[in-house]
Amino acid sequence: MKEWYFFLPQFDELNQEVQQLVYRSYYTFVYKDIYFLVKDHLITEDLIQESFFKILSAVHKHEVSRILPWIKQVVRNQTVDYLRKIHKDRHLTYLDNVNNMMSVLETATGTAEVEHHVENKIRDELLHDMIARMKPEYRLVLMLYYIEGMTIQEVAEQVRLSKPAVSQKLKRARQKLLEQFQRKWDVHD
Amino acid sequence: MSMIEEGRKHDELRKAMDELYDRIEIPDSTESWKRVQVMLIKRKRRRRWIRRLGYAAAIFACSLILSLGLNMNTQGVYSFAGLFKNVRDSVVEIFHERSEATNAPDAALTPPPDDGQPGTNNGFMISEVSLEEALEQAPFIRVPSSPPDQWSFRRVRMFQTTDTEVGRVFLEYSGPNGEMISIEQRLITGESDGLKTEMPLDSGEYKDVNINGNTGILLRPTSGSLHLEWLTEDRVLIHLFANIPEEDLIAFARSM
Repeated sequence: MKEWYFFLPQFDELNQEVQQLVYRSYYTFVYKDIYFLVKDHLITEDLIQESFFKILSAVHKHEVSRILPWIKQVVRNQTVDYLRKIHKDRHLTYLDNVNNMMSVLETATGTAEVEHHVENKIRDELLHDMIARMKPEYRLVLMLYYIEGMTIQEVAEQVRLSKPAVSQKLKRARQKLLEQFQRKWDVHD
Repeated sequence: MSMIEEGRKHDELRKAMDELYDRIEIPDSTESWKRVQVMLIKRKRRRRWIRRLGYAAAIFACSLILSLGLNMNTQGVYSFAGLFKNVRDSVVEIFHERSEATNAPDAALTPPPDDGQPGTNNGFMISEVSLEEALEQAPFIRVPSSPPDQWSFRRVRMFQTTDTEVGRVFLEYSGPNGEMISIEQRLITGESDGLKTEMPLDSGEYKDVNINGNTGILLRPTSGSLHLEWLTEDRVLIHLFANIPEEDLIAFARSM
């Protein structure tokens, strides 16, 4: 549904069919951003629902023309808040997975018969797990910089940090990812 | 690591992350919508309740303010009107003066004794005199200068508590069709026990009127005569009873 966000301010007055269309569009709009950060479908859905009600209650305060960036920001903030709460537990959980994935990766990349798309899939899993091990702020900075294609200045404005602080976080995040990837590339090369 | 090598790896990283993001599959949102629907219904109910509570709170606050305003010693509330009013048990009490004993049960508006009671009545000496005699014995009384057209002076009756002290004076005027205006005047001396008039809230209307700079109260019962009363600056409490138009009664009072 195109321009679904125009319906948000009057959402409560819409009939159920239109409400559902608006919600589905919103769901599609934010799903990847949240999943990219949390890597869990159920948690993603919970966060989508929670942020949806937050958006409904405050949408009247925002101009329609600027609603989409605002929605993304609400969703990211909600997600980062969630991640901060559970960061320690998740870190421990994913540590084993990453180690397992590394061994799978090493095996896979060393076998000539392994299809390229399988290798990519494994690489994605590994990359995603490594991102999931990072602190929420690092994940967000990486996503805004690499996925959204924002400049350092724009990222700084989004996460309300200074430009040098964002540069530093981005550098550290990249360094961590590259350290892990070094092994894969070394093996691959 | 050379700059070129580092750049290559950064590009690789960017590409990998882009692909990772693109390959995230968005599942069907039907189940999620069902849950949201349930939450929307709850939210609607909650908002309805909050709205109802808001209305209830507003009504409660208004009631509280009215109740406080009407039941406290009301000089602050009604000082603009000059009269003190109190509502108790659906009866409005209008005080011309405040006293320490404003709850005294005896109202100042004691009805006049029956016409057919000559001589003494509960310690009062009742006598019918001429207007001149009345003015001489009770110089505080006021005589209207402009009774309505075709109205004429009828009689004066005085009620004395002692041989020398006149308690109340009644002046009566009669109209062309047998109507009557009765004027009761009483000089208030010393401390009063709270000069008040009572009127059931549902028996009519009341409003403040200005009589020559004094605030008076006009009671308009749903049936029966108009009743206008005020306390003059020299503490003469005057009651007028009449079945004539309100404007005429007020004009009559202002001519006293």
